[in-house]
Amino acid sequence: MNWKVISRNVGYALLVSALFMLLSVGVSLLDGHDSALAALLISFLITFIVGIFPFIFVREPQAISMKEGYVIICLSWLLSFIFGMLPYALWGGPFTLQNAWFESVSGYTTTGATILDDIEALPKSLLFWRASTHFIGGLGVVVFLLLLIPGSNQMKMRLTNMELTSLSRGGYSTRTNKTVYVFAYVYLALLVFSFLAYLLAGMPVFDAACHAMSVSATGGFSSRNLSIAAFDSRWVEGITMVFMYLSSIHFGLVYLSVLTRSTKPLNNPVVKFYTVWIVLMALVVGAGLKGHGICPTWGNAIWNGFFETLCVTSTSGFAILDNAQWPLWIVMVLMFSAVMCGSAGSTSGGVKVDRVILFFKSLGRRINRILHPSSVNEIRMGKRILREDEVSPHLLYLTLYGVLLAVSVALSLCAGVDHQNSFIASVTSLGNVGPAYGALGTMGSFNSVPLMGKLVFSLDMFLGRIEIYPVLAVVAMIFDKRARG
Amino acid sequence: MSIRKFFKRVRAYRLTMRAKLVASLSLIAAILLVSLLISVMEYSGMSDYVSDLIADDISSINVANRLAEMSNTYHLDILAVVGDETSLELPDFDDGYFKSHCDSLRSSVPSNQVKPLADSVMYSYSAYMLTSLELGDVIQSDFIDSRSWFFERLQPRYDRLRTDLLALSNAIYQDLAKNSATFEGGFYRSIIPGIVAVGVGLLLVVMLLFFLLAFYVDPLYKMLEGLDAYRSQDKKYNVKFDGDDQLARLNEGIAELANENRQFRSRIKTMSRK
Repeated sequence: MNWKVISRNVGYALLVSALFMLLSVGVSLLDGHDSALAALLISFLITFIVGIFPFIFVREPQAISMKEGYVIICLSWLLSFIFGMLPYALWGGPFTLQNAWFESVSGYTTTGATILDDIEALPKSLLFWRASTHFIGGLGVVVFLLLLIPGSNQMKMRLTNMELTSLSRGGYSTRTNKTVYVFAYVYLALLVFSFLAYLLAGMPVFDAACHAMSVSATGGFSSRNLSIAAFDSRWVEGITMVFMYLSSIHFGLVYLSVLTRSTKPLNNPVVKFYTVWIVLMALVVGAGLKGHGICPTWGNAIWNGFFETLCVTSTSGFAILDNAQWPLWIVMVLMFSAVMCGSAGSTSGGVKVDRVILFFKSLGRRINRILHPSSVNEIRMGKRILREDEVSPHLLYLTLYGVLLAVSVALSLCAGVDHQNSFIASVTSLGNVGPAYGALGTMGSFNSVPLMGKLVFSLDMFLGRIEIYPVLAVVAMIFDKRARG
Repeated sequence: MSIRKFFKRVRAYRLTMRAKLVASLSLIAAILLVSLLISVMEYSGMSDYVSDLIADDISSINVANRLAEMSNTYHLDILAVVGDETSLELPDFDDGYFKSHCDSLRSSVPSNQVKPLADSVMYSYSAYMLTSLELGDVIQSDFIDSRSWFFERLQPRYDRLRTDLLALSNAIYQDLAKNSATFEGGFYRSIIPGIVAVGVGLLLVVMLLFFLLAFYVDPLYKMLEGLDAYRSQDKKYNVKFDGDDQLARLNEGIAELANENRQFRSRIKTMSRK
């Protein structure tokens, strides 16, 4: 294992975080030296020094192996979590070490679950840092790294292949090493357009910036206690819905649509399935909200149904209603969306729509084989016929996801989390959705969760964000002498 | 100069061994300096804060106890006068001291809970004092039984005053306990930055050790092995390692000398054969 090249690349990832800490210092200065200035400045210094340190000795970019790539990905995320918690831990307030860790992991993984009971009590610079962690995490720490590093194309391709799953890479119609740039262009465009749209809708500049970073990353951190409901504006809610939807479909398809100036690329089985799913879910949730008298009119109920469904399905986790007031069945219906989530190649989490479609198609093929043993059965995604070795890793991923979910529920129950929330919070953490139900719901916080519960949920967020395999590869390397090299 | 050119220059710039060591040790020193500054700042901030806090709470508790003691002594003096019946003198009581200290309690303890309790003490104190001033008339009157007056009229007011003083004292104790907890939390907070900075310092030391071993010590060992093989077994000196500094140039120099020497010896051998 070439630790020199690993340390150099992980150093880059830390420099990205340091850059955003410096921007937060700027926000603090603009806000009249708010109380987080010292915390952010010290965090910037520490992160910058650790990030720049490997560059003193390791000057030249070098080729990396698959094993080193996985270690770089895992270490980049883990160290980003650790150094990202510094501004919180140094600032104090409600941020004990465990709370700072939880908030940092939730930010970078774009989960959006928070331990804060009073978000508006935080200084603006720290709110900006919270939103920045979403922005960095949304693009992916490693994708950020790929945009910055001057390494060889071969190295970039290898890291891209490992950071983005094969599902995410499909649909770009560009060379793999360019995929990362397309991803970044679309992401930045979504950020800029959502920011401008929020400004036009009358949102203050600071809130617009924080919400734009959050919505393009499908994160969910808000600068207000009442999340989107604080603005009490249909325009703001509508804009949020549009950008939540766009951020949760394949960025390659969005790019192609813009490039060809047509909606043809979006006429894709995954996008169709995803859109129909959202509409159906929204109608069910809307009917539930109206039926239980939570929303007074049908129009209001359907609007809220769409907003809440998109919040969960896109894994954003914003809110305009307190789901603690809802009957449990509506939340449980939304849990299907929280497991499935958005498309591959977007910033959303969960198992991804693509895999769910693959699962149903594989199931259909199996049944067809039982009924018609001599028939030719293929799995098609659009015009492409998928090979067996292309399908099986995704089905295995679904199984792994289910096992992890079960383990997480068991561990959180042992940690003392209540029955409902050990399931709901495990689903929302593993799917990077964010808020759970009741006290941990859309208007609540995870502050009351015991330490062990917070650790379990933060591990869920991490595994959900990097899609399990890289972590398993690194764990295997730790125990396998041959793999360590 | 464009940004691209600037970065190109930065990338092309090669640090010498001395510069690398100076830079890395300077960064470690910077981290340690940050940790030192943080520790000193946090400690001085904490010590001032805590000493003020503790002094305020302890003096408040002392004052509350003193007020309770004063009122108790005064009440017992009144009881003695009532029991004696021959004495007509009212016992002394420092009214100004009581009022001013009760006011000071109100202002010195920041807890919102203490202020209404201090007000209650003042009210019950006023009621008690007003009733106690009836003592002269009670003793002189033939129609009022002084003992009945004491136990039925004055004692309930005294009990109320004692209850209020006790409640005030408890509130101050609670405030002290809360402040102590805050102090503990604050102490925990104050050491976090220091711990973080020292932890990062240690991480950098470990990284420096790794880089020194990887870039300086291991290549030296390789060069020694290569030289040994060259001297004892007459093998070609062919040592290579990562790096672009003086050690790499030294290695190139040794390789060049060794190869020249080899060629030289083979030429001498050829000449001696002839």
